Amino acid sequence: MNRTSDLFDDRIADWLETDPTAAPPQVLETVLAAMPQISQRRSVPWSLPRFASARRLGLVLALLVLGALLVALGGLIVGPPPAPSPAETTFTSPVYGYTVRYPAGWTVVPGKRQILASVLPCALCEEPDNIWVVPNDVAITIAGSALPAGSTLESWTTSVTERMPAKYSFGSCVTGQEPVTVGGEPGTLTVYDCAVLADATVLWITVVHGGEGWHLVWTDLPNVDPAAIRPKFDAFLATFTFGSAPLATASVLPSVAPPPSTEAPAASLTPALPAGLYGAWYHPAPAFMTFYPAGDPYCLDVLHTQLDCALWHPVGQVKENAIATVDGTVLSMAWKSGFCTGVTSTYRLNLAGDSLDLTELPGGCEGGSYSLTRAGTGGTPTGPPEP
Amino acid sequence: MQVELVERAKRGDRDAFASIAAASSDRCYALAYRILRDPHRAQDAAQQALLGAWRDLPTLRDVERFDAWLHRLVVNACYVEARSERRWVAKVRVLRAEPETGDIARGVAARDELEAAFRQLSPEHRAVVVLHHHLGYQLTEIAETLGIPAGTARSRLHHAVKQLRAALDANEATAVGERMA
Repeated sequence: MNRTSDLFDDRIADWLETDPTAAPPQVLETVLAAMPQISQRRSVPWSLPRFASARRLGLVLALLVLGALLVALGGLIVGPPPAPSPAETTFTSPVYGYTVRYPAGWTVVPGKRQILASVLPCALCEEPDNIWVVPNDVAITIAGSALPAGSTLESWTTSVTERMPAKYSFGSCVTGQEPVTVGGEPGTLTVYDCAVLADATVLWITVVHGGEGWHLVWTDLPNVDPAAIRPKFDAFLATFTFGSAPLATASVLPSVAPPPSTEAPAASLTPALPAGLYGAWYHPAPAFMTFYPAGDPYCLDVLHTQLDCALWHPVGQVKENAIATVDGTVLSMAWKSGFCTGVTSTYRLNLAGDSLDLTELPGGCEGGSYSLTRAGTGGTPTGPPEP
Repeated sequence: MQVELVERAKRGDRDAFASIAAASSDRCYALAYRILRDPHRAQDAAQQALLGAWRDLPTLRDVERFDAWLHRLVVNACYVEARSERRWVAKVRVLRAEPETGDIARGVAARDELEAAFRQLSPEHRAVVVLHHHLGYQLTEIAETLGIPAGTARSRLHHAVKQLRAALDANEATAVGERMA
């Protein structure tokens, strides 16, 4: 018998139709009981209920002072930054060398290492500096790296905007672009409003300074009007000054549809995992766990990380990717795609020749432990079958 | 009517949101159940989605899109629920119904195979199947609801249906073999 697509679609629909349609009464009861204890988010990001009232008031006042200063000076300030107010804190980036001031209540998480020009920064990445306006929700992400000779603001901006869809798997969702000035240098502000970014509103500034390409990115709550963010972002940017020391040598910028990368890992990217761990490992599920060294095109192009990374590939199922780091005998896997996205699992690492045991420690994704054999040894296949 | 309630709830009116929750809880639960295939997890996901809707409602820019937004919250809550499972728990092997002869038994077996195949899908693939085949969403609506490109929605649906079809075909081949034996 030949089934048509329509018949098969009907069969799936019929099967789903027989599932329950009425919620148990506890669903509504629980929601109605819990609702009074849950405060609604405010659409203005700095007034989320996570701030104590006094600090919130102080922050609002500080922003009002900054706003008034901007008005008095006729808009976005170009030139020497304004004098600090008592409510501001000055931050000089230990990795990137710039100095900026931010209002009371904001918190800074400095980057741990300089980002590569080929990697786009994110608010949860370790490379950029992140200044949290609202903890866990609204952040300013700053990073820079030396660019290949001959780079211009236009080429740098194009490189970034064209790599964004590949990073986040979306079509173009740029809603606006305009010139700005940051630290006395001309830059380009690109506004993103992407459903795939959970509707987060993203203001992404690209600047070129002394042969270096810089990112200054404001990531805000879903569906926030970019115009509402600008005064705060502009006030913050007006305090930004570049450092005097040049940044380290850049990696090569990838093209939008890159050929197989020949980029060598940067000298500073010493592989962090034990050397014997790299390569493919077989699991009888069947599945394969593959560890790639930092700088490998897979880590750079798929995970956009300059750290070691790992691919968990259950045959015939969705692949899962993670950034892999090790501390002694504990392996950390920060899952970036698949079942455990957003969760970091930790494993007790036991590597003995062609045998690898990863015993999961509590508190992670609880995806389970792995007993693996080096792929291609002991009669195991060398890799998953071709699709 | 609902737009007015959403506007009021957005401004913090709890009674208005209670009305919305009462009208939406069945829909949320039905969607969550079909994705998660577990009544308890579906209940948790529906509750989380509705409470998340109350909390985040002021950030919803277009109240006309409340339904699609709520569906996205349900699907995201399902993802969180699914991730909290042990990775292999979802891969339940469903035993073939006995007896194995007769049209009714074959129908039951086919359902079991469909159920088993569906449980093999990732939560992301399950979601597109349910949105398309249960709610009747077109690809663009799925993409908009889930916040993914239409091409991704298409490929997920294609992959999911292909896997489900393979499971049914395998079941059918088994049945034919039994008839010939």
